[in-house]
Amino acid sequence: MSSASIEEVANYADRENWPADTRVRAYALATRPVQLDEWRSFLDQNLLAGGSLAFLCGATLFVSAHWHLLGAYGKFILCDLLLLGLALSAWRAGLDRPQSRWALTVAGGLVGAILGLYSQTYPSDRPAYLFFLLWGGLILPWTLLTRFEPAWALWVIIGNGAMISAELDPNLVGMANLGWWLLAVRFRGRWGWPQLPMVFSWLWLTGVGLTSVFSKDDPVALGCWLLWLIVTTAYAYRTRMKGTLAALGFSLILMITAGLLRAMGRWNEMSWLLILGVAVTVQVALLIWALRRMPE
Amino acid sequence: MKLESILATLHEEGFLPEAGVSQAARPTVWYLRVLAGLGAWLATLFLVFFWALLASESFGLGCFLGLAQCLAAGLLASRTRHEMLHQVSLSLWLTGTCLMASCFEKQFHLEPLGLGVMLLLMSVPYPESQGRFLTALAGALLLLVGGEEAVPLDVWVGPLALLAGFHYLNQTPLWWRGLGPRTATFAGVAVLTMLAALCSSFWGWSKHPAGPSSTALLTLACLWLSSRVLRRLQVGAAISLVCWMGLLAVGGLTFNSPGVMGAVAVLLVARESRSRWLTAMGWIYLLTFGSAYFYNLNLDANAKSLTLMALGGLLLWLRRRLTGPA
Repeated sequence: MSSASIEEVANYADRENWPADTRVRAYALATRPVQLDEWRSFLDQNLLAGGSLAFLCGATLFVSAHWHLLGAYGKFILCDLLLLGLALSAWRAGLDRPQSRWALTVAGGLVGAILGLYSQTYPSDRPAYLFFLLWGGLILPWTLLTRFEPAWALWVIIGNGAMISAELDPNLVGMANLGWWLLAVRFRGRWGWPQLPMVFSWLWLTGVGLTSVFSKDDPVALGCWLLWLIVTTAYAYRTRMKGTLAALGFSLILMITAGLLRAMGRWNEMSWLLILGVAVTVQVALLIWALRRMPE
Repeated sequence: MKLESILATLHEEGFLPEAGVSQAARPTVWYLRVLAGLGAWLATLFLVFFWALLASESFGLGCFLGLAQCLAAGLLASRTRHEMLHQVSLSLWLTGTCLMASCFEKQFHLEPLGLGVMLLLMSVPYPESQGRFLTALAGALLLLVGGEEAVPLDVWVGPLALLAGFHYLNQTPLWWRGLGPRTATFAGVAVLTMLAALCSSFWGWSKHPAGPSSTALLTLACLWLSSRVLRRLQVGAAISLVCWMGLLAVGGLTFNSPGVMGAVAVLLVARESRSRWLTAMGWIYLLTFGSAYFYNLNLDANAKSLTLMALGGLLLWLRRRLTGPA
């Protein structure tokens, strides 16, 4: 937990009914004068962030301003040198350092830039999804090696990019993300970062489910959504992943509300608006009550 | 200091019988807050249409419904700690104020100034901080929009900076006197309103933009605050001189763009008051006005890039000089 603000301390004091002298002392602790070492740390972090950002922006602007002067080989050599530099610095420093893992993640992004540059320099009729497939395939080994969440986030985004550009059925995209989520939670750390595939599968499957309820009446979409809900709820309940259960519960609430909306939309009276508002409130309250009662 | 550390210190000093964080008083986890917020707003979406359809018939009915919702929201907010009910009260409050504001605007053809004053006055007694903040912010922005024809934005910057600085640098006595919740709201509104005023000046949306006098005022504020901090920390004359010269240099170079000095002032106050929110705002100011300043510089891309790299190098050198080993 990060530093408590005076507002958090005041709210806690209200809940616990602290006497006046305890409050005064607590407020003084929460807002005690900032010492020299804290100011040093503040200047250190902000000057580093500001200086690095200004330098990187300047360097990027410099390269952009002179990009047209570089020939094709010059551009490739520049990108390759940058990639090699990042990879070598990560190898020298050792993989257990966060800076090395960030360097390899940025290098993974650069692989996409180099592939993009190749496609731009030597255009062809290759389908777009091949670009993403090649990118994801090339960086998979070192993503597995780094065991770093931002690297996995990049890989999952590339994977979804490949599926979108291949114009795959959204149900398949959602189920693929479900598969990645299951791998990530089962082999946590080694096979990815669970949150991002969960977010993508939520968006895809809830989206197609809602579209099916409102217009398409697609049983496959509803079936995929239901399967996703059952599998993820069962796993999340067993492992007490309350945040995931909250997200799944909200998806269920949206689907029920969409169903009610479609059913009641045939009414000419406006009282259905009031009923829906109350229905949502009751469902969310029940879900919060259930999550609070669930043991840790 | 983390909450656990504060409680441990209070226990050691004999103020509390136990050092641990009480489960009942522990803040609600973030995903339950998000769930409650989303649920309350989804419910409000339906309820707003219901009330709006009912209230479209007459001004009296609209005002009555708006007032009833505001009062119900205030009562609920002051008595409940349940996250869902808290969000319901927030959405009732915002629906009620929107309903009342639109009824008054239609009936009396209120200008933004009038609406702004109305919303600011309504926000003062509301017991809950989120609702009070959102209503006060809407009121302040309407005042800014309504007053900008007659009042130059330079006139706004000083009082807004003073209001924010007064709260953030005097938090303990204000919270102790029970004024903290309200001064915190209006200080936060002042920071965001100042951001809006400086943005509208920079991008030429206003007739009387803020300019050199605001930069001078903000530079003076930074010099005063830095002197206060340096005196308290008993820092040597050389370092103090470097800090002052640096602030004056930034003020001088960005004389026509008060946003940059605004960013520096917000970051300094953020550190001195230990406010995470204000630190985030300071970085938003810095990124917004810093990039806008460089974008508008009358130099070609080559020169801009070299200037940025030199600035980066200077900041990194300063870091080594100010925070390196003694």
